[in-house]
Amino acid sequence: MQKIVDNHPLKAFNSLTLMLENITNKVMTSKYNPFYYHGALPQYYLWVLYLSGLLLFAYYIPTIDNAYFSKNLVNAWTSVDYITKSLPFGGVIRGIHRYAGDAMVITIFLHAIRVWFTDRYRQYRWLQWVSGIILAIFVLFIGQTGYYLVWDERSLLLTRMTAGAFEAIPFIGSGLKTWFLNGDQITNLTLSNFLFIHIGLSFFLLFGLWVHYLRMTRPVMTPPPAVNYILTAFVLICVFLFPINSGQMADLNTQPNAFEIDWFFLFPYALLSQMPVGAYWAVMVLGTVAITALPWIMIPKQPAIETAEVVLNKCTGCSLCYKDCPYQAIEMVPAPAGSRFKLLATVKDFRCSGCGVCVGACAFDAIDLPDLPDAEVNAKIKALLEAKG
Amino acid sequence: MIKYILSPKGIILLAFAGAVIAVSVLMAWSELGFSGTLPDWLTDLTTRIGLHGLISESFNNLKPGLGGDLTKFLEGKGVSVNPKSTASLGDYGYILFMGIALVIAGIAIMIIGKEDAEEKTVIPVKK
Amino acid sequence: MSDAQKTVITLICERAVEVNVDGGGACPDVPGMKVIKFPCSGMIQPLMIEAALKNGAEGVVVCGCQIGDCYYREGNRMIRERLLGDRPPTMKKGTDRRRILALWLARPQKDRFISESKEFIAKLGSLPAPEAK
Ligand code: HEM
Ligand code: SF4
Ligand code: SF4
Repeated sequence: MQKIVDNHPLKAFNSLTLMLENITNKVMTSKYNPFYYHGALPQYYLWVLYLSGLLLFAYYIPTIDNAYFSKNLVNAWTSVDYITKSLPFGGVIRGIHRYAGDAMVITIFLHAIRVWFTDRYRQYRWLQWVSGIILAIFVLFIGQTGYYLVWDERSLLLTRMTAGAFEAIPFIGSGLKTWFLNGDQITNLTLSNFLFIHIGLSFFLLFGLWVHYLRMTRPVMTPPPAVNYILTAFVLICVFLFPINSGQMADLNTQPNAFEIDWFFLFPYALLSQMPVGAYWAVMVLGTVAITALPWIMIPKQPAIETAEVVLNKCTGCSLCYKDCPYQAIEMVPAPAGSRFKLLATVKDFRCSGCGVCVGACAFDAIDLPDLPDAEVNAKIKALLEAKG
Repeated sequence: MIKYILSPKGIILLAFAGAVIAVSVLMAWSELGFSGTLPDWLTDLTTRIGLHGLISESFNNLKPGLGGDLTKFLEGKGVSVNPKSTASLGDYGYILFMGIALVIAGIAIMIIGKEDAEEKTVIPVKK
Repeated sequence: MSDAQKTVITLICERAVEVNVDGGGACPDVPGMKVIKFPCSGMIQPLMIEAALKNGAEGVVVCGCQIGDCYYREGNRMIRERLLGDRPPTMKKGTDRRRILALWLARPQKDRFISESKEFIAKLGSLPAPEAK
């Protein structure tokens, strides 16, 4: 009966996580333990980002044009400058948007590490793992476009590095570059494309999250309010301690060559500056493929899941198991002709985790785990009680 | 309905609702620096009950020196303020205190809410 | 009626607190305790608890992981709500609820498990004998 609990390859990491969480439980109890809301933490920061982003969007102007600057025309950089310096709370909201993004990356990382260490990533959970990685990549790219939007010298350098990296990809490279810059070179249209990518992909995240949550019943998406307060406070205090300012306005005639790096979003650029483009793409693509493949390569011989089985002539179609199954693995289908009941529970094997929650939900002994039928449990209870002493 | 509104509970509720609306309007007005011309009766009333003094004394009166250290800290960090701007270093101070308030609130709620986290459930006896 | 003859049945998730079990299903750390392990505490049916009590168990300990940490996401919440009567199927009205204890303990909390269940067993001894039904 003892399953993979004690012999999966990350056993040591699992014990470590449990030990750590035991400490956080002592301090703040299971009710507020942030590790128990690992998925909800990035989701909360996503809402913060939408809200603060909306306020920035109201004043942001996606052009690079500064030819008429003397005539008081504004471009992206000056609009950001206006937001930061003149708008009431503009600088603060810009800071919130920046640091909520960083915090989202940190919490995504914690979430991914936790599901990995505690062995919650394989088999029937592969869809969450793979969609999670796609989400993480999009979050990184959205954050990077955010850094282009400011249109200071760093933005210019990042834009050029990205365009160069795209161009180096065989076959589709020049097409990608044209898409990225919205033309052959950096123009006003480039920034409107960046703004579109930044906002468009942000909303695409909602679609990605829908896929991520698809196979989970009642996903835990909101931390308790007290935890939200602390999450918010973390961002606010960062805004105060590390106020943000733009660099110099980008000037297309110069080539800036150094910038301050935000390690959470811009680490790929640090890599890109250290190696040839070809090697960079190789590292990126192979790294992503390797992480995506983790659920399949970590355990060559995965013990098959003993999926739940419905006892056809006992099921009354009461739907209790369907409501309680944590992985949306039960579907209620019309009962076969001649049945006394309207519905019949059916298990989708590819989603079933073998947890047995449906067994606990069924008052009619109509659903069973093949390796531990409830009749056997009851017999065992009896046997244990009879074998006195 | 009318009976409920006129009951003591209803009146208290109404008073609270009125206070909330009044304070909300005051907040917006304070953002404008309590500017504008008021109808005479209101000026009269506010001076009579001393509200004007209150407003200029505590509400909208940035006393020099109060946030001196914070200002110096922020200036050191490179936060600059456009001379013509309406925004101020105060935004950052405000956000710091909001952050601290949230931490305290979060911890307070956790301390109270911890009570009903369970490691042990004793099932109440049904009668 | 000597205590040694009485048995307390523990229905426990195999991922929750680590409990030693010998070949006969007994737990050497807590005298009089017999253990059955489940893949998840959410699999435990109220019917099983009732069956144990009906067959002469002095008490039943239900044990899952810390609330919030269920490996299968919500199994321990489910059985907790079923025990409290908030989620169907619930226990029969006549079931002696004083004889049921639910613990939510993570893997490293073995000491807590032992002390809580010993305390529970001691308390059971002072309860009036179950009425025959
Ligand atoms: C945008 C970022 C992400 C958000 C907002 C998010 C949110 C969530 C939420 C709310 C859950 C449900 C937790 C529960 O109720 O049990 C979840 C589960 C999961 N997530 Fe994510 N996630 C994100 C990124 C990722 C990443 C990057 C990975 C891994 C590479 C990942 C892997 C998983 C897995 C494997 C589960 C299933 C856990 C289980 O079945 O217990 N997620 N996620
Ligand atoms: S809980 Fe049992 S009886 Fe009800 S639908 Fe599921 S299998 Fe059928
Ligand atoms: S064992 Fe039952 S409750 Fe668990 S995933 Fe499979 S069908 Fe759902």
